[in-house]
Amino acid sequence: MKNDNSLAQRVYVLIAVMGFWAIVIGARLFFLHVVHSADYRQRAERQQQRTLEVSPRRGVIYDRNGNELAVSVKVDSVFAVPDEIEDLHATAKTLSPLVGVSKNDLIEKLDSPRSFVWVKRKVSAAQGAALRKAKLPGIYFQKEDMRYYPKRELASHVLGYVDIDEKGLGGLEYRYNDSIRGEAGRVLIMTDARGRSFNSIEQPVAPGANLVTTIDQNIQYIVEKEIAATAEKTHAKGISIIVMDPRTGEVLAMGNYPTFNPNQYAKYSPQAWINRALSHNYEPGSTFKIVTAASVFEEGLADPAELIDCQNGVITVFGRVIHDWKRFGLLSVKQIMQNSSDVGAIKLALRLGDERFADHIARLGFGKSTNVDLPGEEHGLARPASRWTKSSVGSIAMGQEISVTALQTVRMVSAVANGGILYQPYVVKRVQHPEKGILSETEPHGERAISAETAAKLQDMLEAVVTDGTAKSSKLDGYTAAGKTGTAQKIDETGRYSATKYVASFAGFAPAVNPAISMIVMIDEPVGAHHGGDVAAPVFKRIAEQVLRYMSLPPDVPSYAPQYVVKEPKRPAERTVKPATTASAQLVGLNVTTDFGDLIIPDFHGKSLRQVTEECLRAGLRLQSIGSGAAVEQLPPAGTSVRSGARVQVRFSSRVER
Amino acid sequence: MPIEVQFEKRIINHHVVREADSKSLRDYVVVTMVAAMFLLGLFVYAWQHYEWIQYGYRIEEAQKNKEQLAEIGRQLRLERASLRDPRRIDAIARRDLGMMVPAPGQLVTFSADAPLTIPKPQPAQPIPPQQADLQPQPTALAAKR
Repeated sequence: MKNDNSLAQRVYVLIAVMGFWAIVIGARLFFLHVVHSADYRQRAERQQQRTLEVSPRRGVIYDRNGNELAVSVKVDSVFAVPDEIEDLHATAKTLSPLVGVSKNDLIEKLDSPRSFVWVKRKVSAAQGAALRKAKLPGIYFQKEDMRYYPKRELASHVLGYVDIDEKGLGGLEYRYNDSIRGEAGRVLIMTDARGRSFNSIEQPVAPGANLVTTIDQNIQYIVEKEIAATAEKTHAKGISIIVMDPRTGEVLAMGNYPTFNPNQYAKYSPQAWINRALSHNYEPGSTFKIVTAASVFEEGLADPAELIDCQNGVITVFGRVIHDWKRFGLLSVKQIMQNSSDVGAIKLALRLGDERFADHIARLGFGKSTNVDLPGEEHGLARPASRWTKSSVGSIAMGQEISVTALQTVRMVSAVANGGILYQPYVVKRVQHPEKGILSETEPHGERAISAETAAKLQDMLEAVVTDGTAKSSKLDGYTAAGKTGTAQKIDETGRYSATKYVASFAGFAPAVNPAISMIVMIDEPVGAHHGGDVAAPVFKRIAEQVLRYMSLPPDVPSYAPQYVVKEPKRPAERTVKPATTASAQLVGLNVTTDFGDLIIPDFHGKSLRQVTEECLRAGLRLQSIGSGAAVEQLPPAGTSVRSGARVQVRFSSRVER
Repeated sequence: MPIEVQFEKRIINHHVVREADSKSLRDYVVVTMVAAMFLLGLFVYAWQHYEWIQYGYRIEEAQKNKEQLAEIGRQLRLERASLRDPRRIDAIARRDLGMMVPAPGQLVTFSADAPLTIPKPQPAQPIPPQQADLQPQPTALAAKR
């Protein structure tokens, strides 16, 4: 009986303990789940869920052949959670050399009541790796997009640049910012106790649209290379060159000096960021005589062959005495252009009168925007005829009292080159979205500014300027060209025309018949030689020759460069170097060195350009390659005996026909 | 010293058989089955939850992998773009490969319509050096100049 009581007591004690334990647990659960529910839920969400804003991927900017000019890639940005930093000074000391920020600045940043502080945004890959290796408590990484311009200075004024938040600040980056920036996305990430993510809910990022420009990176490079050489030679204050397709208004290249690297734009003076080609107004000087002549021809007031008395190089226009650079007597209108006679140009303009002249100036696009798709364009200064003084007509005829931009001038020259259509210049061919396809495509848009007859007369006259006039130094090797030089005095601080500061320019096109390119070369304040024909025209020549060759345009005049030809052997039946196939016969008629010596030409068929180049270098042969892909033709044929240093022409192709 | 005698009483009950309680057996089976089903359900739920989390890890991993690969692709494209920098290529061509810009007369323009074939290599007959004129010939225009 006693035992039974003892057992019962033990059971009751156990039940009481269990009950108490259950009550305690229940009470705790009640507090956790009911009383402090909201607080703990919030804390759990903070620990288990992370919401990340995903920055949109900025679109790529391509050149006309699909070469990337601006690309965004992810890089590390370093941030700190100040509460989690154990030793502020030690952390700052370790961080300082790794991120390139002074220790004091870091301490100031990190000693903050905020829960998030940027340490340094967009660090390099090496810096990121070093920081990760340091494993500093309270220091974290966030991936951010960074804009890269892989060709550095190439087309920097056209491309523009972006700030740290990827917002376009100049050039196409600014003009097309809304299209190429994209829309940000959000990701809700759930993590476990170890911080590993195991689930995420996404609001996807809308990527930005890509831009396909009209710029050709190789032509742009040729232009920039020549700008750098000219800047070094002339010590000019500024240089602008634009190459345009006169048949469409597409800008093939646009370069300026000074220039900048958009990857590090902050290191350059703001002056270097300016796209002078469309933001710099200047008095055009004699290049404007093209407009004077065009206006006169349009009104039927003169003919290229008509003789004009240039009055021994002196004329007085409403009290203003103007001297020619040479005492000219009777000159035809064509010769006035060839010799750039101011007196002749003024006499032609006087036939027009103010109103008609001003009207033609406006029709040729001066005094207003060209509506090019780039920011910062100046309109130039072409006053209405009502605001002209009596002598203005004379001044404007020779390119004074009027301001233009290089873009307006090349557009006008393009109109002359293409038969009279004034095209709207443009830089972006296509806005292409990676998911939605083509958003917009630019079609050439032009209006007739001068008649085809006037354009033909001007083409003929401008070609004569190059062949026999002031622009002989722009005569191309292998191609015809046409254009007009300009040497304009700048207005100095006193408001008068300076005797030392000039703008030298050349506006022209090539080839003279069926032109492929039009170009303006504008050199601001060259030191030393300052005539357009001396400093600007040779630049035009060098660029045009390279560009036309790059465009694979066959020469339209014989070249004056030394040529190597295969002389017909006396006994052709036995000794002619016969091409291997009919196809290679095309090469024989062309000028290829065929020597006879101790080297045997290897067989290049089917080999890559690299292999052929290496073999030629090893053998001491000079390679002239054409095309890309695998070698399909060669001249001299394999097995021919040649001397060291002989030229070998090899044609490559990726297209093989059976 | 008294002597205690114990008599062994043999109980023969091996033939006594417990009466089968079919009700409690049924209850036992039912409870076991219910418990088993409950445990199975619990197990399936736990297994599913575990699998869900594991798949979550794998998907996240794959997602991360995909992003990394895409990023590597972008970085490679950027590198390719840098390597295609005309300035770099020009420098290598001139400095390392000894190339030069061809003169206009050295240009060969092929017609786009011309069929491209890979001709069979045929070794040409070498010509005695004395028969060949090795001197460069100026063109008509160059001679005029």
